[in-house]
Amino acid sequence: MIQVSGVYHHYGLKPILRDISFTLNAGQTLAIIGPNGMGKTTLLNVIAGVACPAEGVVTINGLNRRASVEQELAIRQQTVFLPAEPWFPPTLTGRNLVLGVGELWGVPTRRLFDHTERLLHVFQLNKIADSNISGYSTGQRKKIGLCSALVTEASVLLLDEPFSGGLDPAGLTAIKQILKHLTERQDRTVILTSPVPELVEEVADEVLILDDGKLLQHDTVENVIRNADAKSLDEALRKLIFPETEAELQEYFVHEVTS
Amino acid sequence: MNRWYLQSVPERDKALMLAVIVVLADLAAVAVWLAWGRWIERPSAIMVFLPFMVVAPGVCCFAAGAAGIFRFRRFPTDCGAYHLWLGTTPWTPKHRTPFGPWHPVLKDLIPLGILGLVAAVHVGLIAWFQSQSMYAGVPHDMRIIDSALCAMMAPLVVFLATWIGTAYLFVAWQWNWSIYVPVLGLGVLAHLLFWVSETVFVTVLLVLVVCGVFAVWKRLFTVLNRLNESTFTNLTVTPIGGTSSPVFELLSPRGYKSKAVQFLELLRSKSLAVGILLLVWLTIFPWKSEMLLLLAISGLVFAMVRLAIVADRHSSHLSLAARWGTRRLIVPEYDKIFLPPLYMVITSWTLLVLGYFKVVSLSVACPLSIIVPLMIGIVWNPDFERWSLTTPVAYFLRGNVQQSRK
Repeated sequence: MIQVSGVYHHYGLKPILRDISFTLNAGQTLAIIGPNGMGKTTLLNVIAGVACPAEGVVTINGLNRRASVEQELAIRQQTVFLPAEPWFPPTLTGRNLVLGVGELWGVPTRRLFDHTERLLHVFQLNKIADSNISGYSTGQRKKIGLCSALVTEASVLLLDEPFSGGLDPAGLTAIKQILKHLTERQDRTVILTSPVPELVEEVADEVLILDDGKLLQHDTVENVIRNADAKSLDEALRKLIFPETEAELQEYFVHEVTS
Repeated sequence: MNRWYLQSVPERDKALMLAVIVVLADLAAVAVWLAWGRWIERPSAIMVFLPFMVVAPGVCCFAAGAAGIFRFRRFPTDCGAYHLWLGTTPWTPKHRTPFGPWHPVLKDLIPLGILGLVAAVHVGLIAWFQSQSMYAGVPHDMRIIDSALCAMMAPLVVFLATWIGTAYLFVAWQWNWSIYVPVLGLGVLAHLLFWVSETVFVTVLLVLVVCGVFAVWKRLFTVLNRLNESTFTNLTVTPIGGTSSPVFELLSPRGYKSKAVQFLELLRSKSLAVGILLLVWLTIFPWKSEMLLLLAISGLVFAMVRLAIVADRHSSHLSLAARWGTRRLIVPEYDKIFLPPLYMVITSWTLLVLGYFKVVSLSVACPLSIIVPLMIGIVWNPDFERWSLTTPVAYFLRGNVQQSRK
């Protein structure tokens, strides 16, 4: 279970997160959605322990984030964080990266090798698995990053924009199905961010909508759609955050025509 | 276990390239011998293929040196992104670093042993040919064995020396006075002892080198520990999350400086201090004219390494082939990177020529031929404003994108 209580964060004088509180039960997938620059990545960074909140507490499986060395190490063992643009050692091969990350999380060797093979296969990386990562395309880097996060078998997955970064349709399908499998059958908890609601609708159990650093809504996907009187999550988000978009578009086209 | 170690070994294609160079040099030696060598009188015959025979030991030592640097870089100590990534994993300094070791391990004896064997065979052959051609009839078995043994050990020594050198440079880069001042003091002490007695000097020097290595080793682990501790409980919120925005850094009322800015600001004073340190230590050695050629090659290698570090960050559209394709052989703004290496080679060789013609004494010219190009290589950078606005090394800043921890 993940608990975020009264989190505030700011960069310099600019407030990024304002009084964010929510709880996420194990075996659930939470999608943090919202427009660009509203604090999605910062919130995920705070949950991942990469950024320290100016105020507030993050608790993962009963352990307070960044409270003590022991607790923090225990959290790290149970959590894996994949940034939108993760760091890769350029001279390492994709296979070695995945295996190295798996070893770091202490995955038993036999299972690690087997799981790595299966992941590389499902993400269609077998052919380039033994090439240096520096030669990978953007989409392939995204895939190898996802493989390295999934191989850890961590109970909490924190994924920053896992569906962006040049993933092809096969990759998108693969990651969606795997995430669904992990939460439904293995009781893993997933928090992911995305600026595009359509992409998360299929996998998310709950949605957290951020607007200007504030928590606008946190509910199940169905409830968010119903409350907004919309047909899809995309429409619901538009109505909640961009109610003026339609009118602005009309105004834009009127000006275009008259000029 | 083996996979963990293998991750730190240079790539297969580089090993293959090394083998190809050695084999080609040997084939060239044999070809030259068959074509001309056997028709020439014995004392001079060796000179025909000697240049080809020394290639292999040289390449082996160079490979060992490169492996020493590569090994330290395997734990990219100056890579903020790697530190941040490690800070999200369960890794602690008690664990092995992922993706291979960053320090010498016992298994290194295997590749270094192979390199040593190749070097020993070649040096042994050279020594044998020398004994056959120049001192025919006189047994020189011990000389051959001595030469081969020295060659056998050479890659190991070079590997350790480059690793320790790189590690020390990193520690010095962190600007730790507790390391710098004692090492400088020890150098001065060594100079003083030299005037007392040669035996005392050598003994004390050895002890000091061992102490220096130990100190660097300890210091590195301290750095690693601090790196990890800071990612656990540091609750300082730095402005703009450590992002290295040049505008923010220039205008920040808090005077916040990213690592990149701190690095550039202290670059000149650091390089001066490193230069003084090297001067103190390098002038201890008895430089002789036989070493001039080696130093000249070293100067060239320094320059090439400097060029490789910078050129590595260039895009492929600036490659020679691309320039030929676009008919733009010179791209002035980018080609500035060739100037520092050029100056490095010119200063190094000029000093060596001055030393050769006794214009400057060898004991001064030789150390300076190392120090001056090195300082040019370190210092020759644009100031921060120009660098941040025009340099093509943007990814250097990208390494600190996430929240930094002081």
